[in-house]
Amino acid sequence: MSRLWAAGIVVLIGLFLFLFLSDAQLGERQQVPVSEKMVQKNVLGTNPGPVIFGQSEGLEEGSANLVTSIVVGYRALDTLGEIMVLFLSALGVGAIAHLVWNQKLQKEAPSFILKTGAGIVFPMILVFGVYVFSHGHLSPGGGFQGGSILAIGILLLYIAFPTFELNRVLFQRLEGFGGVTFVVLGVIGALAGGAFLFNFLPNGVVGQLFSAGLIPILYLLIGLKVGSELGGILRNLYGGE
Amino acid sequence: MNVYTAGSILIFLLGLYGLLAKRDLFKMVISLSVLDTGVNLFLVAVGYGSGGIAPILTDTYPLSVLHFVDPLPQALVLTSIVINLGVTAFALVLVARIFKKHGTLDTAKLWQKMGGEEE
Amino acid sequence: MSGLDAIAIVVFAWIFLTGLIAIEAKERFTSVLMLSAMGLGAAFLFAWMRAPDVAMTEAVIGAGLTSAIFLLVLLRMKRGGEDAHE
Repeated sequence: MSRLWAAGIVVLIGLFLFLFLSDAQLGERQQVPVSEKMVQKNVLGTNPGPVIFGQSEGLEEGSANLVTSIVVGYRALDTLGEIMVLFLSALGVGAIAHLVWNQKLQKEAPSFILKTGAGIVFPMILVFGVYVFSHGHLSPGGGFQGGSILAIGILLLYIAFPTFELNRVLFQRLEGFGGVTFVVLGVIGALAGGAFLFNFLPNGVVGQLFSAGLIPILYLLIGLKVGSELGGILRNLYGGE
Repeated sequence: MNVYTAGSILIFLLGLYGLLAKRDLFKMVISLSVLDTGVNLFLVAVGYGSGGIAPILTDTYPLSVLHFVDPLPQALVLTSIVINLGVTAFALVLVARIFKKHGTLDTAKLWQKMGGEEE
Repeated sequence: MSGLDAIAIVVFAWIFLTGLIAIEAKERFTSVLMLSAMGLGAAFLFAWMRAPDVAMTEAVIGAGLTSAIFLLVLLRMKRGGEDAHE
């Protein structure tokens, strides 16, 4: 399609969007109507008292990060669907990549700074990634962020050491373990509480590390799965065996 | 229509133009990535109010005076960013396979090579 | 239109400019670098709109892993065959 036609279509769609959205409630707003029930952690109506950081115990949903309480608490089934889509795309990359190339990517010899620096920085990246996905219910972070940070650490190893090979069996087992345990915990929640992925562990005090029931465990499994999956994609792109 | 929603719609339109006007498959994948960024920016901009704070409970503010930014679009965008990465990786491997088999990435020449009729 | 909105307009202009260069560049390497810069601007805007989880995710995935995957596939495509230029 030539550029003129493309520009015309884009201008038409743009005018339509701007006219259609200008009388929706997207103007200058000071406060957004967030559901009061969710902020007070009272969606099912079983809340014993007010929510005070560091003092309230046994709430309905014990995490201090509201986005985490949506992603792994109220809408954990959608997160299971997303893990499935990521697994399918990693499967597709793995299935087609070895039809295209079958030898390893030839890398230049790395410099001295890169080799020494990678040895120092990689453990720090690992510790930071584990910190991010284990504190997902207290501060910004969670499984997806922590898993991606682990994958970036693996990329650093690939760049700095020319003979580095990712252990395929270990990472496949890790990824499978993460996925299967997620579903098994969901089934246990269904048997214990009546809904799939129900939070059956006790919710401690809001704001402590060991709180919020099942949420840190689920995020840990998601972090392991996403990290090993993205590392597997990188291994397929680098080629080999 | 504040500045955040308008700007993100402009970026979406830029990605749409790149997807329609380019003939090179690699540029199409890049335009798809630009379009994804525009959509994610629009979703977060819908839930933004200029008097709100980040949706995390801390001990500095008591809960009665808090006005949070809407956390639900942020949960949607979290999912969307990770899925876009997976789709882009898969699309790139398909592009590499097409390049290896046919030697070109121009859609007009590929249409002829794969046996399509003349336009 | 206050001063805070002016910062948002400048960053939107940065995202638009780098996106335009990414789509219209002649070399493919330039497109990948501009995509990474666009991810950086988007991460700033997500943090500006009070969304720290999303900003962290976009910074790691958009500006890090996506560019790495693009470059790895680009290196594989340089051997043999004709190259199509727009």
